[in-house]
Amino acid sequence: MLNPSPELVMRDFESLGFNCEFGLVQRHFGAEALGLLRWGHVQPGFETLLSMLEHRFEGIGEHIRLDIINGEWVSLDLKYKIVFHTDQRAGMVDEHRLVTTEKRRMRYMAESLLDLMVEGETIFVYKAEGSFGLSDARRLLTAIRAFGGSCLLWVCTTENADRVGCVEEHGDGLMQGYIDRFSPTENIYAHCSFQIWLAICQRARILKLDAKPLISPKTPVEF
Amino acid sequence: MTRTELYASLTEVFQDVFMRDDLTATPELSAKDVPGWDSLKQIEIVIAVQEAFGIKLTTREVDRLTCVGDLADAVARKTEARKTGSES
Repeated sequence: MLNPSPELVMRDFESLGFNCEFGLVQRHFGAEALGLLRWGHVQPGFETLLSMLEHRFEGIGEHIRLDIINGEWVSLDLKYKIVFHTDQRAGMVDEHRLVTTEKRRMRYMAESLLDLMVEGETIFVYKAEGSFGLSDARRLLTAIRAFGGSCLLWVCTTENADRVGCVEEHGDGLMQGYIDRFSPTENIYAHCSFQIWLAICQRARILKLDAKPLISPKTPVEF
Repeated sequence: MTRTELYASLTEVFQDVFMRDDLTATPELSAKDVPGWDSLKQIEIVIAVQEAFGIKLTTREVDRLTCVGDLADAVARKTEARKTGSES
């Protein structure tokens, strides 16, 4: 589709965590995709994410803990230290049932995430702050490409107004998007750069489509 | 499996997940009709359906479901594919 709606654009992407800003961006544009790390926060960060991929999420959901934060149940996977929103208010659900559900949910979502990586059609989004650089992005792409041909969109902030909304290609399916700001954790929705996120995703999607060969190597050529 | 048998099995799944004996799975039934059918429940439903029918539904397939009729179609497709050995 040449001019897909923002919702359809957003459906081509999958968050690799950091926090739930991109999950909220997807929701803002009407894309309610299920995703393991969409509402997840990988606490120790990048190295944990690489480790999870390397170990194919083995053991995820085996040992979890529930806590209440701001009146909402959140679950913590004790092996990988990922915190998940459950969208369940404290006092509204049975805690034991929620533990069982969360464990099964984590395993199902992890398996589905790996399926997407094997399928290779998704653009994975990693929102990076701090010292995360090109070599780190390449390591993440390598971990993703161990499963299939997916692309990685690494999004970082820039103070250069000319670069805001731009997407740079680094080759082999690695793209870098530039945003004016990330939202503060306390109030992500109120301060989110929704339109810039959309512009970045639209450009990344076009770059990915442009990079695809018109004829698949597996397609037999007719004479 | 007939459509009637399929919907009977889905009814059992929904009654178990929502802990309500009065729920009946119909093609038109959707999240807006059942209090508490949120994204978390959606995953519970999918996992229960996978176990009940011995199939696998990906998150992309689940994202496309809008009502129980869509779910029933997906289950019918998957069980048929499994029977003929064409499931990828």
